Amino acid sequence: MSLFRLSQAEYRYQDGTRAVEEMDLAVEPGRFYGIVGPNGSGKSTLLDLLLGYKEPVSGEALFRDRPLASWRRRELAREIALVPQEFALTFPFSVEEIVFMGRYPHIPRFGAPSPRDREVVARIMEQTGIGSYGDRSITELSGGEKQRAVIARALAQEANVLLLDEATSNLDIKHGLQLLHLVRERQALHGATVVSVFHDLNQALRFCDELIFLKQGRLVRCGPADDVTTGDILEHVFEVRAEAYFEPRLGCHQALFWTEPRTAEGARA
Amino acid sequence: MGHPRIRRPSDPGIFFITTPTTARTAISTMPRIPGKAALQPIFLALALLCLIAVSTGMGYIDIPVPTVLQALWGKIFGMRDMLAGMQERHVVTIFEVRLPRILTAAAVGAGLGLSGAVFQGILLNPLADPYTLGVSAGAAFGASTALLFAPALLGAYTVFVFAFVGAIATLFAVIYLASSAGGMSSNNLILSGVIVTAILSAGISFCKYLAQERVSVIVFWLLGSLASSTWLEVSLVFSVVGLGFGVCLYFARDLNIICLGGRTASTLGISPQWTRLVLLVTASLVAAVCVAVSGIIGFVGLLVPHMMRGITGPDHMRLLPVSLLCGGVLLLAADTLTRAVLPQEVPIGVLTSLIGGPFFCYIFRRRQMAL
Repeated sequence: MSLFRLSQAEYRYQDGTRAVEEMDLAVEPGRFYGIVGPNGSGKSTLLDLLLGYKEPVSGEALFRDRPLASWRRRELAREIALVPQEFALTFPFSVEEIVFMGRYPHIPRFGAPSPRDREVVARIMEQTGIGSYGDRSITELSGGEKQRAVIARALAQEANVLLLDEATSNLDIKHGLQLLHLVRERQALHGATVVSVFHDLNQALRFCDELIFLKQGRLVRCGPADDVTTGDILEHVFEVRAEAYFEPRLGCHQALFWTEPRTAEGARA
Repeated sequence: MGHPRIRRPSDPGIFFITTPTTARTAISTMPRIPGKAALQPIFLALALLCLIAVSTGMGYIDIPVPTVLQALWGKIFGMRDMLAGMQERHVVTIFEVRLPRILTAAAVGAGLGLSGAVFQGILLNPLADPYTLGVSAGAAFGASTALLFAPALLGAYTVFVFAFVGAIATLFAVIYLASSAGGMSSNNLILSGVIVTAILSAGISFCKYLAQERVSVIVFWLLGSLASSTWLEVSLVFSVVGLGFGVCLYFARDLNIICLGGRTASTLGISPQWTRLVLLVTASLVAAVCVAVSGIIGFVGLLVPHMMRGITGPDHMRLLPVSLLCGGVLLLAADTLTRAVLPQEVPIGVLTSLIGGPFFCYIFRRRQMAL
């Protein structure tokens, strides 16, 4: 049974422009998916369809064989967690309050957090390295610290599906890698399913089992990362010259991009 | 695939540097001591009750506080013999003159404090107040029209009804405008509020122009006053503020989640659009009743949530009750000042802005320096 299934899903903005068209996609449990494509190719919209935040105007979006729209929001919150790209907070919530918000779907509206809720929050804060500043205000943290609080909030939901929307694009290289390692650990140890929009194709190749290539709102190719990533596909999707090669130091494929002329002399000229 | 991968759970990668000992101590002190958090609303409630008793004794006729307490006690518990021994003029002053005004002031202040906190939360904007969506302009326009064209159409409550209808009509116009502009986002709502307020302000100016020598009636209403409050108004404001408080408290936790942004909020088990709409309508209803009863009283709805957030933190479960109570305390104190302390009665709207403005500057500067 596929976890998510989109069939002929289509999404249009209010002005009629199509963001996602004729999308057929099956997401299998326990795997790490990366969504890649140029700007405006529908990556975030596809993620919104999987989240149930947007409903397809035609076609179907199913989660566990049930249309996403028919799920109760609270049920869904225990299944799917989102790590957004940016996190602008107006009010000075403490880091721990933010992480506790991830437990809200598990705590009754006026109920106090149970010992287990506290334990989960404490454990995840420790794992993500934010345990030492739980009482600091989120508004005074650096970008990297803030993003760790955000992912801790998503992990505290204990959802089996993690959706990431360019979660690392505001982070420096070290914090970006740390975050993706943590997500992958989650996938490997708990059998979580991860679907992530990537801005950096090489990062996607390094972490994903499967890649989904999008272009102009359409699915170009979906399959095992190392198999589908060929120079032809990359050139077609990104409209630049490209080559994929196996990088033995990382144990996965990586991609090179350039525009003509190709030679080093020409690039300098 | 088939390539040897280092992509495995055992992959050390770069792991997070954790310091478990400090983490433990930090967590054990959290969340903020529950006893202390519960004390804040209790303290404010006691302050409000004391202020009600003290201010009832203050005024043109000086009534000692024990007499006030005796009268209140006798009335509430129906002991006629306690009231029998008292001077008739004291009893009349307390129950017919002062208490309606005092309780209205407390309830209006509470309503403004509550709806200010809710507006700042929904609109994700610490500069929002109960009037951001044009509720005050709508009420003012309704009141101006009533004062100008039909001051006695519905008896003593004409102005109130017109002001209330004006406020609610404005609210729905703003919501309609915001949602037709592509979703009720914070920016859309604020912008729609600004547009509608601008149009209504022109309407109010036109009413003033038409009123010619009667313009003072409109101007006086706009400045705000609690002087003519009746028991009917007391019960009306109390019930609306009470109901509004119940609804807002029910959604207080969702309001916290909304602060994370709509998309994230929708993955935490709520429907942001629906929650926003319910809270918007509730807070605006509360504000509309307050404005219709008292005229436009500025700064309470803006200032109170700011002050309280400094004490309770931004968690709305704690912020909403204390904003409610603090609003009541502040407006009652201001109204008592203008009614019984100052030699000449200053319109309450002017007074709150006069006190609130500089105080807001102070908070603002202190926060700037703290950062």
